[in-house]
Amino acid sequence: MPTVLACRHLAYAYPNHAGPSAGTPLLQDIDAVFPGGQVVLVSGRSGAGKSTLLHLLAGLLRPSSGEIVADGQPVSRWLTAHRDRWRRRAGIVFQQDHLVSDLTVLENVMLPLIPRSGGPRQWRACGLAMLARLDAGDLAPQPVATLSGGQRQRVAAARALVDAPDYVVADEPTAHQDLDNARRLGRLLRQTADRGAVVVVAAHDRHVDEWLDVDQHLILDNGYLQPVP
Amino acid sequence: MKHNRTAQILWAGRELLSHPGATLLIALSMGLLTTMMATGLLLSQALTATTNRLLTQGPDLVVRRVTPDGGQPLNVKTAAAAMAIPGIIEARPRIWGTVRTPQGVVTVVAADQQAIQRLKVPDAIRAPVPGEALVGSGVTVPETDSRLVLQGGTAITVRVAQRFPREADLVTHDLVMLHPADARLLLGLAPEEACDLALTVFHADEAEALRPELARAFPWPVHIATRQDTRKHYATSFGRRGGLAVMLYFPAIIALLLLVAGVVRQQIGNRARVGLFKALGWTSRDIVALQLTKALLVGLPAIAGGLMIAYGLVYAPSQQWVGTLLLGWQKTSPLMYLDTGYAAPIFLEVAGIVLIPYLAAVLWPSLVQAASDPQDLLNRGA
Repeated sequence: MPTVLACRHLAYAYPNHAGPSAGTPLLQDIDAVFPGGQVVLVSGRSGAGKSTLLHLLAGLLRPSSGEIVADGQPVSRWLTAHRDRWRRRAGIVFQQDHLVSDLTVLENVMLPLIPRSGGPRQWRACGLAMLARLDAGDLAPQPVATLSGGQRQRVAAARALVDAPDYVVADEPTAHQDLDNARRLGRLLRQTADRGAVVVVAAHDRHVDEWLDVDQHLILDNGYLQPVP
Repeated sequence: MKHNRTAQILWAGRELLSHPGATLLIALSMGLLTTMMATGLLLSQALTATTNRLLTQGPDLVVRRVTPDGGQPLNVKTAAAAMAIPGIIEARPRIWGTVRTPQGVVTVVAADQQAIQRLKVPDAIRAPVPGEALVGSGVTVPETDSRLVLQGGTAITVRVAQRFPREADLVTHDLVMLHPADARLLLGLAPEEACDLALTVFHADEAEALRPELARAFPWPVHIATRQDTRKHYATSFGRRGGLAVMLYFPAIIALLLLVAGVVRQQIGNRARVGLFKALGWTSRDIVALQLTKALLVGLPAIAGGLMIAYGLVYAPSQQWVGTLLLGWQKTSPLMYLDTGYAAPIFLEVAGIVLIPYLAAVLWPSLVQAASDPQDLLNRGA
């Protein structure tokens, strides 16, 4: 069965502990299919809910209603332990990179590999190879505190892709990148999709077509996700 | 590819080293707690075991002649009256007393070679000849001169020829053994007189039952002490001060509670990291396993170190504080006897008391966090 991620009547409202925003609907009745082998771009203004949608797709949040379906399975309804296992197949690039400040660049990239299999030598080799593909190999031994914003994003992208995930969600992955590095990441995301993975990228960059080869473009507006004609 | 447990342990070690200060502080706290708890309990056990061991070398019964004014010497021939009682297999007249030296009060005992052998000291130790003394480690003589001046009913001077080994210190610390003739002269006893009778019975359990018959066997009032009476005397004496050491236990429990609270707080503060790890594909089980491995990497060496220090404090030959705390000795301390049948449960008990709350403090927040959504943890930990 080809890899596919889908939303069915997906809705999300801020939870009760979210202060003044509690209960406010952010995403409403979203029906969308993200097929494997395609790069899907989700755009929209700031605060439209792009990050929340990506977090829902990556299994980091549970929807208020509706469901996320991965390869025909309603993963958003699964118990925590099952969702944990499913999440192993997903790679995420956060908007705020979320690198671990007390680890080196290479150790940050190795993080998804550690609970799986192999040993330090394999983790190291995989991490270095992925960093090299993003032209960040020389950063490997550095502490992440010394990196620029663009370098941090490349490290975060390497971490998301290091384990060859079946589902990749990338939230503004090139916000601080120059065009060369953005194109390098765009090529890598394309290659990831070409091997059958689902790739969903959120960006509000107007020049996104300069670095990313998009198969499907969706726009999030007022909580609804619609295709861009 | 196989799951590599060693690699997971290495990673847990790497994580600990990323916060060396906090790791070291927790390890030191646990080690200190373990030392405090184990020392008190081990000392109490060691005193009991050592005293019991030494008392088994003593007589089953001791008979002393008493008068309204106190003790009175008895004639050595009265030993025959005791030997006439069925069940008593040996009656030894003993000559002993406390006398003064320029350095303080010492206990003088008259001994022949048989008495020395009964003490189970090394073969090299010989019974003193007239003019010589065999002394415990607490008896001091001038460095330039090995002569010891003893002031009893009469003053005598003897040469310190040998010393008791430290293994016997609990009973020989302030002991001066003399030839019987010297001891009688010093204590003002006539040639046929002794201070008391030490009796050995065929069945040690029957010692108590022999009391009434013994009391009737002598023509004057006697005081009869069994080994159990002596044990109680020692137990009361040591127990009073040993209790001080056991009291270390209570502040240690309070310190343990503070440590647990600190660890829980640290773990709760760690939720953003847990959320990130979950987002990166770590399962709840992976996270709990990582936290458990980290806790064991810190806890087990700390507890083992704490137990080793406690062991050294109580049993090491160079330790001084036991004698100072319990007996008021200034220079040397008794060597304690280790009864593994009692010490091993103490080690396990203390290790459990420290390790289990620590592991609970580490694992409980981890289990709660593991059940949460990653984004929720990331938001709350931000």
